[in-house]
Amino acid sequence: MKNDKFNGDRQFEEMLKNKMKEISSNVDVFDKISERAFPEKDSDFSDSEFTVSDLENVTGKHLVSPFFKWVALAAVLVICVVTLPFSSFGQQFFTDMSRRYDPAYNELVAEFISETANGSEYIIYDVSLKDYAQKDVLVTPLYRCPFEYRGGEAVRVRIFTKVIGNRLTNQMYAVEYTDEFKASNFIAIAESKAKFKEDEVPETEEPSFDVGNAGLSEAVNLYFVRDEFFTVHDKDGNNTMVASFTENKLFKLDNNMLDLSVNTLYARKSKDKDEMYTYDILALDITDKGAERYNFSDKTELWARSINVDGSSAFPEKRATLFEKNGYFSFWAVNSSQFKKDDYFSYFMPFEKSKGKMADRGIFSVDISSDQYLSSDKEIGTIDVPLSDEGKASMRIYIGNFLALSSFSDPTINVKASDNNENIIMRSNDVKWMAGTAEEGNDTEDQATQQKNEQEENEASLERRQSEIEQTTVNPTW
Amino acid sequence: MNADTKLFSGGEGAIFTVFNAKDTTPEADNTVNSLIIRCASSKECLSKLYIMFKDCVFAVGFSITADYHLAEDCVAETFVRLTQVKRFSEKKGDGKGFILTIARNVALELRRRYKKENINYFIQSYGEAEKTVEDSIYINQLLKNLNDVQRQTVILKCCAEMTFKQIGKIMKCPETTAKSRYKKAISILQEKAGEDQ
Repeated sequence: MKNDKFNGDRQFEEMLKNKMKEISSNVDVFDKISERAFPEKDSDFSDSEFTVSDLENVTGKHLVSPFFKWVALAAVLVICVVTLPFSSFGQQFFTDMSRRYDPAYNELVAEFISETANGSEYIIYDVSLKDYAQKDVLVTPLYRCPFEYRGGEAVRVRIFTKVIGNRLTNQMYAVEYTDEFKASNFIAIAESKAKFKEDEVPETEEPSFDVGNAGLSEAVNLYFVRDEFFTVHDKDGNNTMVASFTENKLFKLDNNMLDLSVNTLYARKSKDKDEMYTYDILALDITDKGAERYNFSDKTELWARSINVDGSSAFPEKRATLFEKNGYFSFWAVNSSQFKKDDYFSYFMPFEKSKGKMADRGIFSVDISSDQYLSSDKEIGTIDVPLSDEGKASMRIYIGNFLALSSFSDPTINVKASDNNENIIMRSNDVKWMAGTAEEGNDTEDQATQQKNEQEENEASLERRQSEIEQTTVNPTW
Repeated sequence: MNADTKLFSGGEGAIFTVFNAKDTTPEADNTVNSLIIRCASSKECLSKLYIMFKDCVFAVGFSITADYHLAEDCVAETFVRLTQVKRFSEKKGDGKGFILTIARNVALELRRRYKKENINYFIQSYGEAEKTVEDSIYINQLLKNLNDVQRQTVILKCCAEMTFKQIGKIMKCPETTAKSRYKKAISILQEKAGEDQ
């Protein structure tokens, strides 16, 4: 500790150390250790549920000769043979693999098991193949679903994303399987092109990914409009729900290491029609000089391979996605200041406060409604949320700014989640105005007056409409 | 649409970190290293190691499992595994780092095994003695404000008195990352401790 420049707060460290010492002072398990380490004849430790069964592997060190590291297929197999015998998963796989699987498939699964069992950290998401195939943009924004969807709900995909030094990377494996997650239930497996070594992360602080609106406000203002009832429409006049989310990753692409902030803007057309989305992705490379767009073409394939158990390619012939690309961020190359910065929209972040607690909830939809919404059914719309915890926490839902103009003392928006019926209440101070783009929440007096007048007109218009409806109901022959 | 998310850290019994003697004080570690080599056949050596490292192994276990009894199991399992070690260099190894790496992997395994269906860190056992319960709850209440890696970093630094370089090796991250995690964690803890008072 002497050499460390940063020493924290000594008093606090001491307090923590002493408290922990007090707790552990009651621990006395040496007899138990001794019994197991120096067993007498026929000792029975079956009740411990945690016994060492393979002495060669208690340290977990690789027992592989360096020579093998350079022989790709042989190396992977040897590493797995040596490091995995203590894993029931690995054992089961190796029992099965020689019997019925294709060598290329075996090689990839062996690499996957070796990678995820050898001390590397992976964050894991599990999603149905149907959701992944149809909503791939919400699952892995820059990666398409690597498997063919043939209908049904039973098949699932488990996605493993490598974490190095607390940073998410784009090294991924995806496993298609049915029922329980075990090797004999695997259908196909895919691996990303990117591969990271543990010591490859630059020894610098995690970059600040605060890229402000990252063009989101501009894109919303540019491609969407709201009518006098604050309903959001796309430029074709379809009722639309608009949302965005951001994921930050250490991204390896063609041997370049990028600190990417991946911003996805997506819009769902009216709930009355088939579920269809449009989207665009703005990937910003964060450097010392600022943020620079990194362009991914539609044809950029980030998966290295996707293999069925019989060795055939598991990539789908055609994407089953419900997401259609739209150039929402095409303005990025242009000076965005030339665009008119309307103040027609607001946004709120329903899951911002739940960061770190949402990862096990998968993809689900949220119904947005408000008693103050200028529509008879009070329903604003429905939209799906992204899969990742980071995506959920950063999710913005864009609405017409009716709430800010409400005459109610405590206007609210209800966000009802489809998976657990949780109802999140968003209050006016949770809703951010998009007056201009950077200066959120700054409104001029003139704008406020103009909006108030607009609101009064809207309310009067709504009253007239309701009155007409009532008259029509009472006197149907009129 | 069910989904589950877990952070995998290490396989069963996996320890791949290689420690160098230059990271530690030579005299102390030569003794520790020698004890590690001999503990497989000598109960006395094992006992010495147990006395020397029981507290920090428990602390590492508790920071990961947040459970008194699982941390206790972690202590037992770590020292049992230590007696099974066959490949450890008495001259080049960092004994303390080696023991704490085993402890960390054992604790992660225990947590995966016993908390698969329950990631709620506030339902756990705290031991029997009143003071232990009180302290356990206090520590857990403090540590709950940190994420997994921050908890481990703080415990390795405060309770095991590891250097950031050693922490980086155990947690497989750069030294600077360990340092910034610690700095952030301590500021969070101080803030929370202040709020509680």
